[in-house]
This record gives sequence, C-alpha cells and structure tokens, in this order.
Amino acid sequence: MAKLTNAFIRPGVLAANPALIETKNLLAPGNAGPQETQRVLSICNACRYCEGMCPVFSTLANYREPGLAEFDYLANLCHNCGACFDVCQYAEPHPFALQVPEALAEQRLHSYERFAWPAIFARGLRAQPKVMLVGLLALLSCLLLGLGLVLGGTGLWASYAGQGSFYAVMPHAVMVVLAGSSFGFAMLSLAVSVYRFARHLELDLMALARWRVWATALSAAATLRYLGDAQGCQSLSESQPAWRRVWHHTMAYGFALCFASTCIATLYHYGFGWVAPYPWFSLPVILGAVGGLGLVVGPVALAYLKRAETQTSVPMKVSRTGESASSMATRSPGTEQLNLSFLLLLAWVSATGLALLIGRDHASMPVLLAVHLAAVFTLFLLLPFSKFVHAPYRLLALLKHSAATAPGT
Amino acid sequence: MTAASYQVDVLVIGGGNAALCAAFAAREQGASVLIVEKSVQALRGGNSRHTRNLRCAHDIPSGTLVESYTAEQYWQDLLRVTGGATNEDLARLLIEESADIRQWMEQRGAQFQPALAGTLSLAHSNAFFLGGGRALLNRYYEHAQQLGIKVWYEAQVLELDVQHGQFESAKVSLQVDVNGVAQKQSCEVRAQQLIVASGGYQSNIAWLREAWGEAADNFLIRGTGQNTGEMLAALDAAGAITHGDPKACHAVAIDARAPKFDGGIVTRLDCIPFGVVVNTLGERFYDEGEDIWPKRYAIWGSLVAEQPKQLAYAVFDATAARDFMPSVYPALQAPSLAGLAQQLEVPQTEFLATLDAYNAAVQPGDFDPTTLDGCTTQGLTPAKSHWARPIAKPPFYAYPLRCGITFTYLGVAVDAQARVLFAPVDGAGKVDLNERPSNIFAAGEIMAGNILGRGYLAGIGMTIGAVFGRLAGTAAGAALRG
Repeated sequence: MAKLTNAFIRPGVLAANPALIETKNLLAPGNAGPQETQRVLSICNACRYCEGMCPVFSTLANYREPGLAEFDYLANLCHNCGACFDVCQYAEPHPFALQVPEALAEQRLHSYERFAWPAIFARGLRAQPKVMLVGLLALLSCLLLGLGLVLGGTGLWASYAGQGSFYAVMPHAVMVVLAGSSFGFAMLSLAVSVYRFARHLELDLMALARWRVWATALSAAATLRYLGDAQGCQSLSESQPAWRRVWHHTMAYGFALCFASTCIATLYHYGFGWVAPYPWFSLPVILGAVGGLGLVVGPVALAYLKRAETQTSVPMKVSRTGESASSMATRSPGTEQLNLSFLLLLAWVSATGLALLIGRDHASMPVLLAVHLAAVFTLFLLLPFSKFVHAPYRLLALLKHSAATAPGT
Repeated sequence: MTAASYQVDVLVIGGGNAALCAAFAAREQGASVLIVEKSVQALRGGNSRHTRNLRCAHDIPSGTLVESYTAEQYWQDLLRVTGGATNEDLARLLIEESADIRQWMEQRGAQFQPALAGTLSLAHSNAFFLGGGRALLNRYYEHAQQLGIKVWYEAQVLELDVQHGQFESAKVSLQVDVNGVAQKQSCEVRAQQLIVASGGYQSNIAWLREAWGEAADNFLIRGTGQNTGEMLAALDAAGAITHGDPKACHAVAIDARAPKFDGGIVTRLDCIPFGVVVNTLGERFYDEGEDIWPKRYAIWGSLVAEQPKQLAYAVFDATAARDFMPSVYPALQAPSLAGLAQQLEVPQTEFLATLDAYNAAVQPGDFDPTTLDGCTTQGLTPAKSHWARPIAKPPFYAYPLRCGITFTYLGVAVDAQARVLFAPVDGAGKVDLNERPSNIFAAGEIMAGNILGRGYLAGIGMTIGAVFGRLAGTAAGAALRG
C-alpha cells in the first residue's frame, strides 16, 4: 500500500526565480533590532492565535504594516511574561525560531536608547553594571574625601548625635546642591526623553483630554493589570507572573513611600524648620523605613525570580525545557543587564538608607551617610538611562492603548 | 522506561488532540495509559499544534460561541462540502457528540477565546483555542501529567503485533539516555487495548506520489513532517478495512514560498477572491469569485495541484491590496503588469492578454466583500462571478501559490465506538469472523475519511479528533472493565 521512506524532495520552480527566493529568506531569524521585530511581528500578524492573550496582540491586529512607532508602542505594552512564547507554534526548533518576548525586549531597549537625552549617555544603557559601579565608586570617593576635608580633626569615625547631626557631617547647603543638581538633571533628561517618545508614539491629544483615558491607563499601570490577569498574560504556571506582580508592587510602592518620605521631610525642613534626623515615630522615618524595606525586598526577589526563570526550568513551562530550551537571558543580554543592575542599585540605595537609619547615632554614621548619598546620587544620575524609563514609557503606551480602546472612540 | 518491555492497559499511538482525548477517557475509567509520541517534546502534538478551533453544534450561545449552530445546519454544511461523500451514521454521531465536547475539553484544561479578527464568519460555529493549538496541547499534557498518564517522546512505533485476532504488543523505538549519551533502544510494549491516533500520511511524499505522480514533489505540507503513515500501513497490513480516495485530502492554496513542512497558518492567502489567478502559462483556470471565501478556500489546493508545475499566481492591484488579512510573505510588486509578468517568469504576451480580456469583461457594480455582490464578468471563460473589479491601478501585486496539504483522507474504517473494522477474510482469503481484532481503535486524521470523503469544513478536523478520541478511550476503558 505504501512506501514508507520519505522521498528526496526536488527543488521546485521557485529555486530558479530570484524574486521569490529573496522574499522567502525574509523569514530566517536575524539579529535583534527593529528588523527582527518586523520579521517577528509580521509572522504574528499573519497568525493571530495569541489575539486573546494580551493587548499586544489585539493591538497588533489593528496595524496591517506596523512601522517603527508601532514596534515601540507594542514593545512598551509587553510585560515579558513569556506566555506567548510558551504557546508559539513557530518557536524553536521551528525554522522561523520566533521569540516574541525577546524581540520585544530588544525593541524596548532600542526605544530607551533612541530617545535617551543627552544622546551621548544612551550607550550607558547597554553598559549598566560597569557604569553603575564606576559611578558609585567615583561618587563615594569624592564624598569621603570631601567629608574628610570638612570634618577636619573630628574625623570620619565619630558620633554626631542629635538634631542636625547629618549637617554637621555634610553642610546642608552642600547636600542640597548635590542632590538638587543630580535630581534636576534626571528630571530634565527624563522630561526630554518622555516628550520625544510621546511625539514618536503619535498620541491622540484629543483622547488625552478625556479623564477616562487617563483613569484606565493609570489604573492599568498602578495594578499591572495585564500581568497575569484573566485577560492578560496567560501562563501555564500562573505563579510566575503572580509573584512578579507581588514583588514589583513591593518595589514600586516601596519606591513611592520613600519618595513621599523625602517630600514630607523637605516640607518639615522648609515649612516648619524641623531639622533631620527625625525621631523613629515621625512620618518621614516610618514611611522611609517601610518603603525602604519594600525597596530592598522587592528588587532582590525580582532579581531572584529572573535568575530562577532563566537558569532553571519551571516544570510546566515545557517550551523552556528539553531541546527547545532557549535562555531568554543569554539571547537578550542587554535587557537582562539593564533590569538586574537597576534592581541591585535600588536595593543598594534602600539598604544603605536603612543602615544609616539604624546607625545614625553610631560612630559609623559619617561613612554610612557617604555610602548612602553616593548611592542616591548615582541613582539620580543614572535614572534617565536605567530601567526606570520603562515606567513613563509604559504609561505612554498604556495611554495610547486606552485612548484607542476607550468607549466612544 | 529503559526496560526492554513495558506493560500497560491502553497504548495510545500519537500525541495530538485525538490521542490526548482518548488517553483522558481511558484513564478516567481506571486504565493505565501510555502515550507514544514520535516527535520531540517541543514539537509534540502533530498537526494539532497548528490548529486554532473546532466546530461545535449548539442551540443557544455557548461559551465563546455566539448565536446558534444547530445539528441540522452542521449536517447540511457537511453534506454540501463533501457532496454526500460521508458516512451519515458516523457524521451524525460526530455532530451529536460535538455539542458537549467543548465543555468536556474545558474540564480537561482547554481554554477558549472569541473568534479572531478576520474570522468572524466562524464566530457562531467554531470555538477558538486561546493561544492556538499549542496552548491547547500544553494544557492537555499538563492535565495528562496530573492524571498519571505516561508519555514517551521521540518514541516511534516500528511494528504492531496483531495475533489470534487481537492486538498483543507494539515494538517501540525510543531514545534513552545512557551515561549522558542518547541512544536508540527498542522496547516491546504490551497492552490490552490499542488506540491509534497518529495522523494521516501527508508527510510521506513517496506515498503521495503513488496517487499524484511527480506532481506530489511540488506539494507543500502545512503541518508536521512526522505524519508519514506507518501506522496506517501497519493496520492495513493487519487486515484493517481502509477507506477513501488516495487523492482526497484537505488542501488549500498557500504561499509557494512556505517551508516544505510546518508552515502552518501564516502561509495562508485570502486574496484570491479579490483578484485573478493565473497559471505559469499566464492563463486563468477557475472562477475566483464563485462563492464566499470560507466556502471555497478548501478547493484551491487541488485546483493549483492540477496546474502545470503545480504553481499559480494570485494577481491583484493597488485597489485590492488591503481587502484581506495580511499573510507572512510580502507580495511581489511591479509598477506595470508587464513588469509583474517578468518577475513571475510567466509568458508576458499570454499574461497581458489574460488580464486585458478580464478587465474588458468586468461589469460595473457595487463592490461588497461581505456578500455575493453584483461585480461580475460578462462573456469571459472562466467567469469571475463576484467581486470582479478591473486590475488597473498600479502598483500591481502577485502571490505565488502552491497546493498546501493539511492532511490526507485515506484511512481506516471505524464503527460508532471508533473501533477499527477489519475485513472478514484472513490473509489467505478465508472468512473468519473470530479472528477479527476487537481491541484496536482509531481517532483523528487516520479515520477522518469516514466523515470527509472530500472537501473540508473549517474546524471539523479537531472535532473529529476530540469526539472519536473520547469515543475510542471510553470504549477501550469499558472493554477493560467488561
């Protein structure tokens, strides 16, 4: 009845037609970047099986020929939960070797780089750990040297208890100038980047005038709605996105509490003339301590999750086991480094802050203060070139998405 | 697993939708079940990996299915596409069982989503898998693990031992790890019941060539390259009744640039009703606008297969460029029809004459892609009955078309319990009713020809797999207990 050997397959007519061969080869996987994003999304757009999985895919269906603006828009909508990779019929070992989360991660990094301002610092985005370490060490050395000079004979190892003790170590004006200039630089740089990215996305200004558009986008951002929700990222092992959300909230709201603590302390200082350090049961200390704890635990847990995700095989994530295993970390190293270095920097800032809180009456305070301030100034200076930019960029992408999907549009 | 023999109640050959449904049904009755999957884990599930929906009868809106799709509508649709080439008893059984199969699958891990953009005509009849077939398979295998169903990957059945009127054992070749080195080992799997759900034989080009001749070399296989039909041949050799035209298959016109195997959905082209289709001689050969596309897409595979070099070109112009879902390869493009002919390497004079004749025959009308509109040709052979507009606005585009086979229909005949029917004669030609095996079942593509003599109805393949898989597993489990 049947011959059971698979026959030699003759090259057909196509092999002779250069026009056809050229277009056929467009589907071979290439190097990361917009060209690869285009290849990946053109396959997704012709497949559309993931349409119900998350807004990336339902949004993609609106664009017949997405361009760079759409690539960046979709990339900044993606949470990189990996669910679409797990269900992809074109993932390796299929010859199309589709890796949507990775392509979008690279595209995101690309968008951060292209809109970073001043552009000369953009390359720092890909060299994060080095830039971070150099910045920390340089600032720490300068601060210690400066403090040593200011303190003179009293020295860097002595108790400076009581109100105004920090300013006995570093004069208030100096601290304000250093913090103000680094923070001011960060805000200016971020403002320019965000403005340029918003222009690039072609946000509908009329839609932005509607409160509902903002409400939807802000609530999606504040709750990470599309990470691990019923209509959001679907995953076989629901635990991964769920934990990511928990730790991200821990970190993000920890960050917010620390920021609130600083604002209140500023108000105390200038509004009421109350000078730091503040008592344990004061608002700045309570908010800072609770937020600081979150800002240590959250980043460390997220870094651990990322490690676990890329180094061990989660049992249910079958596509990451066996022969199809393709480590997302090794294939998108820029993104992984950017994520990890920002997480560690945040954890370091708050860990040193907590250490300063505990040791503020101890002889180690001047050193702890220098270490913490070096961390804070490094964070400020690197903020526009760190993973932090994902926050405003994603919010802009969410605004565009909610403007397009809000009722009445 | 490295033992040279293995004992199990139910052996399931194949790892797709039909196989998993069969395994669930058998396991739920207490049977021990082993699934033998030929593929590596990452490509498991055969053609199910490329599927996106199944067709279900329902009287009221149900889950993601809107409106209603009655059993009678289902039957009429099936009758129409097959032209009556179907086993009515089995077909009506399929339709009846399809009514609750979606919920049954859902209870075993399947997740559904509303019809995809561009497929709204299927929203009332077809339930779409959230994330597609591979997502369905991932959930199924997770469920199989929870049920304690054993799965062997990269395991290929070499022989079926059918003796004394019963299936006895299967010789399975599998990869084993010996001190970190993968080695092939042969294992005898003894089972009381056998369920074969190993797909069609479309990936076996040599076998296709028996029916199609050398033309088969130019066919593309839309799904897995693993469906090479060994089990169908083995059942045939054991005396199973085979059924179906060896040329009959589900085949559509896909982009000729698609990979030989596994191109899946993205190579699909929905442009045919919006232009004309010419062969390599530059001639039209069929009415591109005969009926709405969901009712005609499944005939274009064999239409293209019958053309010289098994190649054709869908040609359209700037007016039609955005009327259909994008496909994955870019259309070939030229500022003039003559330039397009040159790119396509079709004879320019004939090509231009065909297009001129077509353009001259187009009658004025109101173009409406959603209905059988009045845009037609007059005095043209073959006619274009609907959606005929002049192809005159540059740039001009073309997609190369080949016959893309989804699966073959020649398979084994089964009864209403999915039990494989055996000829009432033995090898020597003697009638011996007692020697006919009763412990062999089949589900999915390998028996789909019982329902589909020809033609295709979107989503029915997965319904056949799920329904007959469930029937097979249920009957196999019952036979063990009885």
